[in-house]
Amino acid sequence: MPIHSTGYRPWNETRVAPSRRWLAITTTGVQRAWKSLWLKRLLLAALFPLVFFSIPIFFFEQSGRDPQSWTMFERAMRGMTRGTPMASILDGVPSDPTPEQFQTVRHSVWSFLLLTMLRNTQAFLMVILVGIVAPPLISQDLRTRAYLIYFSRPIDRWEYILGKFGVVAFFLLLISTGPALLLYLVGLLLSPSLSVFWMTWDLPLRILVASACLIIPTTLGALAISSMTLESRYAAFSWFAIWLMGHVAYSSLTAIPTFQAQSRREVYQPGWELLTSPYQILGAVQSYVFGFQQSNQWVWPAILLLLAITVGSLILLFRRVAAPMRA
Amino acid sequence: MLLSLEQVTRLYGIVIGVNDVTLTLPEGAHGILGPNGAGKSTLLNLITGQLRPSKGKLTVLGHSPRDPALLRRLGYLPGSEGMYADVSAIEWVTYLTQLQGFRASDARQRACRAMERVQLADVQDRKISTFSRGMRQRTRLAQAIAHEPELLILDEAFSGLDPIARHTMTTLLQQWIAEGRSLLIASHVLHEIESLTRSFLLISGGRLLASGSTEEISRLLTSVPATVELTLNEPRKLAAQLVASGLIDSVRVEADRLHATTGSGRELAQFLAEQSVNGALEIFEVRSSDDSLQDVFHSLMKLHRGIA
Repeated sequence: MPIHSTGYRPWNETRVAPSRRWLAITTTGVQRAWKSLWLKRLLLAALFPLVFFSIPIFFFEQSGRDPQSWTMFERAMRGMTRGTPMASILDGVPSDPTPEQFQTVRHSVWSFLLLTMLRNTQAFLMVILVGIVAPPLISQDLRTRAYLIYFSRPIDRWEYILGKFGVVAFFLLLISTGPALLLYLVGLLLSPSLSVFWMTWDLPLRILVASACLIIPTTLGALAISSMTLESRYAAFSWFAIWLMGHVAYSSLTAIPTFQAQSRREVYQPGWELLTSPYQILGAVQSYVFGFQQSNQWVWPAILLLLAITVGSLILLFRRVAAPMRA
Repeated sequence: MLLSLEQVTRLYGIVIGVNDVTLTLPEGAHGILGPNGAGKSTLLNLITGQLRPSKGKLTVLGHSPRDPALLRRLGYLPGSEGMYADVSAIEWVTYLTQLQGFRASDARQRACRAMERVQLADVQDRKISTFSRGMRQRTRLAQAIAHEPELLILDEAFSGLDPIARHTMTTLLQQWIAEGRSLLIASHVLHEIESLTRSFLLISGGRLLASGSTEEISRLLTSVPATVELTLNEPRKLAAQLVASGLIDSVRVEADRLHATTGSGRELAQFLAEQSVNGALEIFEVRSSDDSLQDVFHSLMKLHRGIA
């Protein structure tokens, strides 16, 4: 009779690649965040701008076939762009544009509408969304010392950070990139022919780049704040305080020059002041990505600042997450 | 070899967590005993790679502690909570099993098996926030064993458990050891570990004071001074006899009580038994104040410092 060993036998099957383990952290983080009713409301609210901005696209495409509609659209567009650096979009376009002139202006109009949606509504929703999702992601693990359990598993710091990054990035994609790409799709469907795609093919790419400019620094910044405290509410407070203080600083610095410029019927181009507000920094870079503010000399400092925030946040995150492991 | 430490020291700034520990342990079950703040958790965190030694070298199952190949073979239950209260127990265990590299479906299967093993299968879908402390502790144990590790490391596993939960946990760990797996369990309560293993490491102040079996440690302790308290009819007479016998180091009498310090506990016990049997003395109570683990450590510390 053979004698069988009933002792311990290690598991020798294959496991998923280490490069995919961060996905487990992201998936679980998304599922946990999804339980928030406020988050669901916010995601629903993020779809309204899509409907709102579809209306001007509809009228724009309609005006290509109807000169009267063009006049109405032009008036509405000039109202929307008044006082902004984009006020000159329709300059040089006659009141009865030829199909060629109309095709030329389509790219600018769509870019403007996509940028306006990303900047005005989605960026505002982004601040609230990140303020709900990001603060507990790392601070909770530090408070409950869950990192002891995390790092007793074969995962590295970068996988942990990437996993947490993925949670916030997923929701930001849903509220910014998703609606922007859908708006582009709506534009294509409302246009007279799908061949319009060949004239606007770069816009989806610009949406992706502009989204990356929004998602990467903000998410890493929010995670870095979360890693600096054991209390999620302090992290949330700091997050909102940064945006609010930036907005107050920028508004205070530009209020008088803007008023003076308006009294001269001119558009005030902010200079270094835009670097005081995270919202303005993101706005300047996203405008640049969509082909506006090309001559603004403060765009490159804004890009560099976003890069600095990204790198600084990453360094801080690695240090904070590794703090218990540092010799 | 389960564990090998070579002059391992861990400093927290100017505070020493683990102080120059050298030891080797074969595979099997071992208990790490020490009072609060002794350095048990620091030692376990060094073993699981959460901390790096400030000095020295350690290997676990032949690997360096942060080696992913080792971490797959480890199951760790830290002393702190580390749980997400807003998810169900099964979701939490599945999640942590996924981090070991299992696919979601495999991880779920293993998590279910682990929950069965810790006898929580019937409540596994409940949120962790609704669990009692004992249930939480068992859930935490489930996450440590779900991936069937070779070595299970537990930090204060019995902390906060009621007697029934303690019994359940002890039975579970006894089964674990009987299956031929290794166990390292840290506690500050001797009898919690005694039912699991006969191999102990005694640490205090970050130093390894003693290691070996219960018998070896008891033998060692008989040579360490102990204080004995007696309540009897003629304490002064016994005090004189004890001084004359040379069995005690010091003696003090208070009313009907006698306090003596001795380095020969066994011989003293024999002497008192003889005196009592002869009818020369009526002893009402004998008490040794050195029966707590804290005192054992105190005595061992004195031995280490050369005071004893």
